[in-house]
Amino acid sequence: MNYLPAVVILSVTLSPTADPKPPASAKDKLETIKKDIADAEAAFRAAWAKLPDPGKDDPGVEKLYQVFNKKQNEGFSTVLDIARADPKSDVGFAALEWLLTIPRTFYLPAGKEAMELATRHHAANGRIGKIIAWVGYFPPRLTKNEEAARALIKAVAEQNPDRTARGQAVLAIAWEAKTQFAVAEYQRKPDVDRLAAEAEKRFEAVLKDYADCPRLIRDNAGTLGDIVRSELFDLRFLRIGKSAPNIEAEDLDGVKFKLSDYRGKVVVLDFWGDW
Amino acid sequence: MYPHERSLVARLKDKPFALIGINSDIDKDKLKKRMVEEKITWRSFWNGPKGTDGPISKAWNVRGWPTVYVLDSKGTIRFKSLHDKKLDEAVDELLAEAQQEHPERK
Repeated sequence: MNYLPAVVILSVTLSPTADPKPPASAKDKLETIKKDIADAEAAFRAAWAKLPDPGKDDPGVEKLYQVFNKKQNEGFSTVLDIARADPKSDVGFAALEWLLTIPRTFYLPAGKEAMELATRHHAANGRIGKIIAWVGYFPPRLTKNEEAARALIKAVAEQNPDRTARGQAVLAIAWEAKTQFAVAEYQRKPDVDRLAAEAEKRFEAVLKDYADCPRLIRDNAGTLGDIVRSELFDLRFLRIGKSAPNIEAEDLDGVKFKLSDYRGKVVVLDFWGDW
Repeated sequence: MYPHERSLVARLKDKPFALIGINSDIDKDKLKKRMVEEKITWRSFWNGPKGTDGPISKAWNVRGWPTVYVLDSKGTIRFKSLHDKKLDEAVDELLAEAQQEHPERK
């Protein structure tokens, strides 16, 4: 948004008597839509907070969603047009980046086309890492867009010269392998050990070549090494059939206790929060 | 969640069973008021002042809330991500198993 005032001054200088106004540039158009949608989202949240029962059961919530989603969908469609018009340009890339860092698009036709354009024109763009971080973290599994997401991630892993961008893709591939394992584990499939080993191998590949790269999903999201070490711990020690790692910490009154104090009992361990 | 947890705890109060929470609320005072309102009596570890970024959920690689693990009487992870009726069935199965191994415990 920083350059908006500059743009206004510029247009005034160039065409002081401009009437009608010159058509907005694609860049201006994109920034206007981004701001519109951000404002609509703020309004949506404010209206939600004012509902008599802001819990999930209030029928008003659904209504607010409908209004906001409609507005957002219109934005998606216009921004996709900007990307289509000149997909290789900076503004085309910016349009794709906006679309592909909002997970709701990943499930929509607009998201599919954005993924396809990104694969075709930006697989070797060093700035694509943020997109890959988002698509890799929220992959549209079991939907019509699944293949497009996978193709984008694969293309970046194979073609991108930027190590950090490639790292996001290699991590996304490891996550996909872990999901395969998790599904098999949940369904008690016989090939669960093989799938766990495969996922471990993929995470180790991230650790070997990309451990120091930042995760690009947001600022200060740690390194790829940080997240991969948690994933490997999960695969090695938190599987069905493994002895649960001990927990030793304070309860809500500040009294220390241990999970192992409950040995001999069946335990439901519930990670929860009141929200 | 709470009503089901309350009924699970009540139903199994005389069995070798425990519901243990790992709570990720940041404001403990506010939480304690809510726990009185919701009649939450079971014990929880506190995940610390960083909330969902706290050390326990981080160590356990928890990404979604709630996340549930079911451990047998030997401390082995036996089920994950179960809710409602399936959670009840899993717990009952493990209690039956424990009783077979240690019939002296009721």
